[in-house]
Amino acid sequence: MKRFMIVLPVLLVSLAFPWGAFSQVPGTFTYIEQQIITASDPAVAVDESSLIAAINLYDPLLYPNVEKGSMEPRPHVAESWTVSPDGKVYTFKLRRGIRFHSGRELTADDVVFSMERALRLKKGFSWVWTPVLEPGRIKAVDKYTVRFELKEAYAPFLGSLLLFFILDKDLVMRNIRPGPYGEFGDYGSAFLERADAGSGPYRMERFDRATEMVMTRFENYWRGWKPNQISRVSFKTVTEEATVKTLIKAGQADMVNQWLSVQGFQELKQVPGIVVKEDPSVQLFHLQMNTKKPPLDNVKVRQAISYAFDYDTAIQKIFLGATRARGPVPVRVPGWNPKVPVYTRNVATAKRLLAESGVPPQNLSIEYAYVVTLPLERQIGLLLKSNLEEIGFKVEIRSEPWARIVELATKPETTPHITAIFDTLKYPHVDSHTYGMYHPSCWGTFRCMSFYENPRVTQVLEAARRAVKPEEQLRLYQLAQELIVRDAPSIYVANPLHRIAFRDYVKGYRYVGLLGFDVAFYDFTIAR
Amino acid sequence: MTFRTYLLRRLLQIIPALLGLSILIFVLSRVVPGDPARLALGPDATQEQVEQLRREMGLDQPLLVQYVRYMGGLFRGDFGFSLRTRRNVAQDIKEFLPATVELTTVAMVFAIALGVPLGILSAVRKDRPEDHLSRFLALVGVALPRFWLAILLQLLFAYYLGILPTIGRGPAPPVRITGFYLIDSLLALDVRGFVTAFKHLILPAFALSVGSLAQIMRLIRANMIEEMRRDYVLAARSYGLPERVVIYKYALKNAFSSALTVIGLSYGFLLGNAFLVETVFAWPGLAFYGVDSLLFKDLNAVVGVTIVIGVAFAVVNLLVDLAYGYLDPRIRYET
Repeated sequence: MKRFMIVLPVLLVSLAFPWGAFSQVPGTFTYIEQQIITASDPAVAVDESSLIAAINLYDPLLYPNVEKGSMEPRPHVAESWTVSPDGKVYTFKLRRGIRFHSGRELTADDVVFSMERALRLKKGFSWVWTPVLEPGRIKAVDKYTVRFELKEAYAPFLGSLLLFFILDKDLVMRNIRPGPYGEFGDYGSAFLERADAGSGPYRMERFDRATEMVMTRFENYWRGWKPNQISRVSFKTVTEEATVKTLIKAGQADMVNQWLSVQGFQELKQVPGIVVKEDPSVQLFHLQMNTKKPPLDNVKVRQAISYAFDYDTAIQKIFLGATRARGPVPVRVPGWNPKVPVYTRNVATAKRLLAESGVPPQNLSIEYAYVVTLPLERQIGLLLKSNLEEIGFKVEIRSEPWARIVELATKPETTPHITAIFDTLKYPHVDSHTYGMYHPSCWGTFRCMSFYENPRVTQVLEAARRAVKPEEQLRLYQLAQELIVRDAPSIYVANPLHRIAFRDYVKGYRYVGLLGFDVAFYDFTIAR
Repeated sequence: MTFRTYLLRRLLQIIPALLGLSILIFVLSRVVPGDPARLALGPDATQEQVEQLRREMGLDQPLLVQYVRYMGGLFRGDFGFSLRTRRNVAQDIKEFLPATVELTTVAMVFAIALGVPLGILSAVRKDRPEDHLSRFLALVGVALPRFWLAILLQLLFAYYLGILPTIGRGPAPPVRITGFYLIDSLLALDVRGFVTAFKHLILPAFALSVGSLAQIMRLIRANMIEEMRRDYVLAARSYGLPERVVIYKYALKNAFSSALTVIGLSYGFLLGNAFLVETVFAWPGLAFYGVDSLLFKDLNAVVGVTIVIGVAFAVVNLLVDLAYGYLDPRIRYET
């Protein structure tokens, strides 16, 4: 026993030798994300972590204009483009001299291959293109010219190409395995989950799926390199918030993702050397009302609820700061209509509308559902319950796991009366939060739990998508916003702040609203 | 009954248990609400995309057909495709299992290495300050939530003192032979790598071990007190045997056999319940993978992990049963 008591402290002291206390290669930039990188194949990526990987390893055809603080597309791999008068044919001139990590030059064949691959895989963001594109409609006119022939004019097309990443066709085809795509086998899917085939500023050095992706800079990147840019990135997955905070406070992480709680960011704000950057986001937080379920099938009841809700308390006390939502489109999205009607709390109007609705008081019983892992949504539910009970409603609050919410959303009968939803812009176009949420084609998904149906709105949205001239598109999308808000299919609560924390020596961070594009490591410099 | 017959019989008993487990988890994972294909594809996927993935996964087939196909694949080492990691679950398990087994094993070593001596100390110093202190520690150990202790340890040793790593397993050894960093670094004669790997293990393993440590300590104390009152201890002392021999050679051997049950059960329990500690320390283990899969309804992963943990549990319990025979000849090979 005595020997044990002597050996133990000696062992502990010897372990204090600083081997491995923090094993990191010097000069490596550490970024912490709280969710795993589910896909390193850019044609499969949909979540933030996978998109960040894609943005840093691959080049999209077009890029958001981050330099000007805008999400509008600017030239990137495509240095210019033309659109036919009927809006159906897009012709892109590709930049010469772009090299893949393999050393081969990027050409029109690679662009055709990458889009056809995305359309055949039917994963990732392919749903944005499938309404208007199919294999065979993308053609390499010459080595540096590629043409997309759409089935019909499609307003969000250009913006959607920010999410279209180009792969090295030869490298992928050299690494295919047997699979369901005929001569293309598995289309290189297995290969792209352990290696990259891109031309982006960084190449994949190592990928341990649950813990870390290490990227090193690609010396021959076509945009070149300047002093103090980041040479090596350790993209780590750490899910526990307390650990994430400890890592950045201890200087073992240089930047942490946006998914910390509001309170977590407030705490980091107090730490010297840490910058918490806040920007109005392109996210909508709204309470979707199921318009197919009584009593919410009555527009006056929905309007009454919209007037009864206490928006100021929600924004100031629960969100601890956010932009008040004005309609379904987040206010910083180009195409948002500033003239859209805005509901403000007015209990008298709410009571009047409720009386006019003709719904008997005994039928004013509704349920509110929220995602169990989001305490903020629970607080919003309690506020809503208190507000609605003032005007005679009975509100039952229930929590559900996200998987269950997604399943409930498939049918009007199973969808709760009111569901709290955070909805981020899917592609940089006003279409995402208009057509994508209020055209009946989206029914069955969490984005459309209101099951909204107004033939005039449907017609306007379809016309907006087909409109060729940008001014006409804008006019129609703005008209749709006004019509939708009058029907009150949702309580439009807030455009929450986008927050991110990094050490103060990290320069060049820019948020333009598009998921993942703010964490393009190429844009950052280190100024110690 | 010979040892071989006994062993064979115990092994055969495991088969129906695992078969039952596989049916139960297979059915349960499929009746839990949520469409795995839609979750995997993202909420914006079209119905056509969802249907295609459901077909690819065989989810459009009757449950029985799905189960038979799954079990057929299992015997060929094919655990099915993970919707979350987009590769075969067998590959995921191969990657994540060693991390959890290594963590759990070291946690159990800590629990035994600290729990047994402290239990003995507590027993031989019954009702003295050492006993009161160890009793207090045992209570605290059982009562403290593991994840909370993990965060505290992390803050103290990694953030404030900076002597132990905050997260992860450390750099992988130059060669991957077993997947256990401690063993692989030793096999590669990489002492620095071994120390680094061990330092990464200390905090998570200790946080994980505390509950079991407290249980073992209390059990050893109680058993030792009982054993020390027995006639054979009195006889040994009267022969003039040194106290050390009486305690460690005779009393402890008898006191230890019932602690074995706790050790076996704890090991199996920790294998499947290391989740919170793995989360705090970003430890790339099977428990974390299993819970993540459960949240995203990654069916094949959930079933695969459960079966692997079930097998591990069964094997550990078998080893414990065999160890009983070693410690207590009276129950060796009895029917």
